[in-house]
Amino acid sequence: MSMTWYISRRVVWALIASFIIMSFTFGLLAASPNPTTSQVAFDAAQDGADPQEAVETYEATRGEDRPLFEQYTDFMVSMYTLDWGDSFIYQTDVLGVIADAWIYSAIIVIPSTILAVLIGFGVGLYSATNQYTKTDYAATFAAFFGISVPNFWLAIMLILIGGVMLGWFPTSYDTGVSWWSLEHLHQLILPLIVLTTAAVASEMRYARAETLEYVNAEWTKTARAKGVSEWKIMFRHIFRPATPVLITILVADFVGIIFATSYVIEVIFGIPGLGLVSYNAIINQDTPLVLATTLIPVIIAILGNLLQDILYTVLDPRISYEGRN
Amino acid sequence: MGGSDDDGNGDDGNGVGSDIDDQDGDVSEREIQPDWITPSGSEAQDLNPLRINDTTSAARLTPLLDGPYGLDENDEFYGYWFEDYETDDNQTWTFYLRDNLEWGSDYGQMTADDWVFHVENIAQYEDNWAGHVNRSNWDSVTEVTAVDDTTLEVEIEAPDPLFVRQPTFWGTQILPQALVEPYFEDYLDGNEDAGNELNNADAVTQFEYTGNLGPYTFESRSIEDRFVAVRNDDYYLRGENDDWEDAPYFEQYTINILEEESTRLAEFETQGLSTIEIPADQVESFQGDDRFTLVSSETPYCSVQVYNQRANGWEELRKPEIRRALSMAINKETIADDIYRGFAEVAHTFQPEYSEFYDDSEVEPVGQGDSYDVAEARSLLEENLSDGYEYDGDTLLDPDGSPVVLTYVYSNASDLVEDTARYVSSELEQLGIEIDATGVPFNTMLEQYAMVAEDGEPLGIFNDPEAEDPQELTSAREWDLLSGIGFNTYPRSPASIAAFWTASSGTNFYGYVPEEDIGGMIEEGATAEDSDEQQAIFAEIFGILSRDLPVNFLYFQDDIFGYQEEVVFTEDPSPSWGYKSNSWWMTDDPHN
Repeated sequence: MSMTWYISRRVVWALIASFIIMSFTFGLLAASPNPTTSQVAFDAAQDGADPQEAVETYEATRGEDRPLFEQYTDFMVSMYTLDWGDSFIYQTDVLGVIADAWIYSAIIVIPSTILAVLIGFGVGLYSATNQYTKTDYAATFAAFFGISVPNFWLAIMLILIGGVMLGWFPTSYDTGVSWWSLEHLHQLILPLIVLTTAAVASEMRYARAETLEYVNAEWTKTARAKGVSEWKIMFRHIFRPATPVLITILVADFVGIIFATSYVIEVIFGIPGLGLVSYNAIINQDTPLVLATTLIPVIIAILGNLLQDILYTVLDPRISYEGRN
Repeated sequence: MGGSDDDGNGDDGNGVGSDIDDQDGDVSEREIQPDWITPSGSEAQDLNPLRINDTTSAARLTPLLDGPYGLDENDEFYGYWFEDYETDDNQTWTFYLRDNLEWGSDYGQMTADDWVFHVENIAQYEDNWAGHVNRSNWDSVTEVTAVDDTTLEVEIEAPDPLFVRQPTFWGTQILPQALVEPYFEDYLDGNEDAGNELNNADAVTQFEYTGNLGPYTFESRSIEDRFVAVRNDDYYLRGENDDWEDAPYFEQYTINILEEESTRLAEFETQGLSTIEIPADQVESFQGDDRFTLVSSETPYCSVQVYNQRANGWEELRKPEIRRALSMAINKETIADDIYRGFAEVAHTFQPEYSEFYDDSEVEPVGQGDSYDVAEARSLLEENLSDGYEYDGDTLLDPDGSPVVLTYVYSNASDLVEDTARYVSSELEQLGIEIDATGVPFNTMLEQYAMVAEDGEPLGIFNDPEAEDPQELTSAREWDLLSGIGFNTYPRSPASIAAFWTASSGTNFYGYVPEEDIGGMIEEGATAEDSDEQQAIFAEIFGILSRDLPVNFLYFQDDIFGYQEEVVFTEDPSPSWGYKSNSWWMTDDPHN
């Protein structure tokens, strides 16, 4: 089987998977009560107006007065023809909203992921090769602290201490600051600390656990007996075999960081990124935007998995795509 | 008559607002500063004036569109687009528009025709083709006529001395006829989506029509980030008098979206914001700090504890004496002074004490001073509970011999509301009643506990006006007590309380059936031509409500606003606080 055929099959599967996920999401949205509806009804009743009429008007302005199947087919067609329509709450096209938002997520998620990988894998590897030393205990403590401490609490504490009390950092993110400036970097420091703390901790624990398996492997002992340097042993004989598993974890973490942790960071620091937009879309039942923002992580996850499988074949000679048949 | 403790300088005893009088700003020294920056907890839901009915969205529009008029600290007409008004019989009202009002783009002058078109073809048109959300405001209007370009005559169905205080006009922003008319014609030609097309038109979403009708002009909007407007060079009100001499006094008006409250407070403290609304439990952090001015203003919103008198509530709650007993066991002063740190007024009826319709001599207090008495409350319960109820020691038992357990539902939207619910629960437990308390999201509270349900499914209404007996109705889930909701008491135009206190009222999800003809009295009060007579009728109604206690009227929460110390105000704190906010200025720029 050629690589092209393999990738084609995976892309077709990606389309099917996204169809199932989108349909499921649409179903969930349709079944969920819209919090605004009851508020609209109560406001109308309080003003002496007819709450049912107010709700009907509200639903008509969102196209929700049509039969559910019609709404479903319209949305699915628009999703796959990339005509994602207008967001209800922002009254502008969904693609435009996402285009504006993703960059703000990227500027915190990408550096944070790189930092988390470098620091997390590095410390995890060091910790594994120096098991039960003071530095190993210190790293383990740091990892558990990073995993345990709630991100929103850490973010608020950093704002209060670093921003309000010491005045060293801005208390919120200002989009008006020039993109390529030290001031911009300055205001990214606190969000990056919070995001990286969480990610680095999990990467560190995974890296330590995975590499430990190979610290005392026969080939490591053989290499050491042959006089191979410790650096080479660490990277070639311990880290490389552990890499495929770590990459699997990394893909899952990356998606998790974008749509879970980064949301908290975006809310607290006022960063108008994809997590924030996606969350508010769900809260407000902004169906076109919910579906679009659902599709993006699905695509990322599917592409990530594809990339992961390809990397497996490169990194681990025991695995080949032919073997998957 | 009752009156406000407010002495006009805003000092409410908390030291909040007292420093307004000490401002050293001189009108002749006014300079135009770069920025006025205000926070918002969320994005706007709508940008179209026809569809906006939430304060978050309205906050985007008000810097761009003043509206016809406001109400000042004495609830008197304060003219913006409408220069003045007159009426001879309280039924025909004539409004005079200024002659220098210009729409943006090519929409020309704002004239009386724009208003006639709005009323006839949008607000009162048989189909709500434009998705207008406040059509009920226009129910009382029978005819609108453009006498000339700047004179608008409005006839209402019955004389109403308070018509000018109704939200019909003062809360209304419209679109130009020239912008809307093509969409309306399109609708008449069969395009049912014309209203949505109007809603999404660039002219609406980019505010191209606002012209010189507000102090600022739309500049940009970054989603979930900020909304920016810039000083309007042609503002129609500039030079009107000293206050508006060179208004507005800021080059840029920015709304900065910060969802998290702690971030907003930190941003204000580090001078990134000009103003902020401060929750009562956070005020201590700012009080006594010279860098800030705090202003508190009373509000018309009454927080209540609702007694479910419907079929799925405790049936004993249908007796006013039982409701009084429960209300008597809750100390409202503790809620106002300790939980709300003094930033709330105790309530005894459905009207704040500052209202001209509130009369001390009519209102019977409960839950304050001597009328807070747990022992007396227990006696009142024992005297009025149905046969079979009795106390076993300190525990109240029902006719089956089981302890009485009441289900208490409250909104978990804020810490202060949750603290209040915990306090209320502990007070009621002193009566030997077990409380099963549950915090739920506000919309869940409305939908599952307030709305009428059939077969467990909410019907989307809070009361069925056609129901023969509203006490036979039920909600999706059973409950006895409910709190975390505030009702507008309409102190400016109290006829609007008809939505609450009759058996068929739209909001009557508590199953209240008054013994007296409150509906008839409200109608009589609304149309009374003599203001003394009108005040007497409403004072009597509020007296009845204070005795009947369809709900326990708990407190009126104040709004607390923080400002950078450089801000100079041109008005005194009042429930209308902010009606001249676009004439405020700053002695210096705190933001840069």
